[in-house]
Amino acid sequence: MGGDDYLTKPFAVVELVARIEALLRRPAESRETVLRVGPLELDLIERTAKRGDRVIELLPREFRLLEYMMQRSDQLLTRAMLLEEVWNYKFVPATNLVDVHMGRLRHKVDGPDEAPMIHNVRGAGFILRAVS
Amino acid sequence: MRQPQFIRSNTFHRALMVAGVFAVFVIALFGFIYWQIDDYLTARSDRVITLEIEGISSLSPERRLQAIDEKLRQDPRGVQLAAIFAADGHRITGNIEGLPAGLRIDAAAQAADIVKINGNGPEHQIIRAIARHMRNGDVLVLGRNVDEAREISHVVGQALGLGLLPAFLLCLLAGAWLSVRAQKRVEEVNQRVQRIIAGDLRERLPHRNIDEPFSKLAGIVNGMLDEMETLIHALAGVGNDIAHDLRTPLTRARITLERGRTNATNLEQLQAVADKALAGIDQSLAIITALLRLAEIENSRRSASFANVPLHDMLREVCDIYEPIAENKNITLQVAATHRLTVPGDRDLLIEAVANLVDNAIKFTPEGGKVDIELLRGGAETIVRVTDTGSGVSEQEREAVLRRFYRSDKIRNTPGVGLGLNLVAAIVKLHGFRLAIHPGPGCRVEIICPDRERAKQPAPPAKEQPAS
Repeated sequence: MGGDDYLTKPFAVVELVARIEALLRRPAESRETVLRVGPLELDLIERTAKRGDRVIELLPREFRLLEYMMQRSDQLLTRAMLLEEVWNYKFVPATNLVDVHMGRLRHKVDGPDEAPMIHNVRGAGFILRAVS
Repeated sequence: MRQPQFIRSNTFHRALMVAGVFAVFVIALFGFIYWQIDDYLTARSDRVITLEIEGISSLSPERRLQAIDEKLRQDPRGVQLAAIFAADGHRITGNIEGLPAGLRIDAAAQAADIVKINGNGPEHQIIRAIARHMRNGDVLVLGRNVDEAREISHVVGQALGLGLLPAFLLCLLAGAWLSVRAQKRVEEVNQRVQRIIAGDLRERLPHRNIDEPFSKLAGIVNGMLDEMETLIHALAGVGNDIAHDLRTPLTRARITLERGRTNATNLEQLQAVADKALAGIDQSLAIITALLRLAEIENSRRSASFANVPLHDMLREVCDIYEPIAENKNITLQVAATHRLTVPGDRDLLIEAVANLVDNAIKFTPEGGKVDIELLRGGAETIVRVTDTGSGVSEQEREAVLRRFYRSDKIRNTPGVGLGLNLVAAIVKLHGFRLAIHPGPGCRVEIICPDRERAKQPAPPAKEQPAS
């Protein structure tokens, strides 16, 4: 047996859909040590991040967040999913924890003159997209 | 045929038993009294006749005859017996027909079976008697009737009959009365309990202000019922609160949708309306999620899976998570954990509890304030303390903040559900810890974890080395 994920009622449909998609497109158990999405590059061994030639300084938690998002690029990631997977939280905090952290990460990843890669999906969550 | 209920009752059986024991005891007592009296009377007779025989035998034979006649004359009750027999056995004088067969001569006083001669002819009697050989060969026999003893026994028996029967009846009556009374009270209690079961929570057991077991018991049960009534009302209150808190955002969402439907002219406006409505519904969902989580924690028996949780690491992690949020609000968030302390517990739940406290602290601290997370040792306790520079909790609100959905008037316009501290309290209770909320400006909340002696590793004191 074994379930990969579960949701307790009450849940939003968008949450359910996002989780099902996440399960369907589960990242292949890759031995990749360098993740790449568009111009974004994450070295899991060196613990460094680059966008093009620009080096991005990341805090450990931000690194983990970006890693999780890059493994699931082009997928909708809900706040609850991020809390569980990145912060190991099994509850929803009252404050906008995810938004704040995401805001900081976005600030670092998407420079002022660059095309945004992290997109906010209103009322649902976030998506990391390669710049086309 | 059905026996009356009181006869089958335990109380009555016991009363019957007591009455039986009582009767046996009384009979034994009377027997003893009779035996004692009989003994005493016999001994007295024996003494008297022994003295007399000494006196009479010391007289000359002629004086002896006179003395005996004298003695028999002066005996209105007819209890005296005396006779002198010649050596060949024939009677010289006295009121005893013949020398009694079993009577040992020159021995101590003894029981003897004799035939008494008086005006009405011979009469068979059992008496105490003593006999002596005189110097001239005659045999002197003195005796005394101890029928008095038999009379006394008769009186004693009568007294027994007269006393015992009423006493026994009294016992039975008392038993029956007690039994009926107990039955009545049980019946009364039963009826009231039936009413309580039927839902009348205000009903109480009959209770008299006397120091009596039954009343005491009723008092205890009534106390329990009071507590239950309060709890049930509290529960109903929670239900009302939940309904209220859910209705507000849902109503808002509904009104928003309704207005949007009539007023929106393009897609963008409609989307804005939908977003607003979603926010309202999300808040309702958040409330329900928090409630379910609360119930889950309160019902869980997770203590079996407890492991030692390193608190210093945990606090740093919480700080790490909340730092950006604090920074956004221009609040200084600091951890002071100089000791490496562990407590037995569920790491996820403990993080949730501390995170909730920090979340609260940041939420209620104005910009430019400070939130401190400290790990302390005091007495036999490990303390996690979260202090902020917000408005704090007033003395009156201290109890209230732990109630579900309680939200201070001061923070009406801060978003939130009002269940955070409930969650913390539930988690703390599950671990057997204590939650202390200190009133006054600058809220100070503590999770106090007392050491457990049973823990195999005496966790905190041994590990109290400064963290590297």
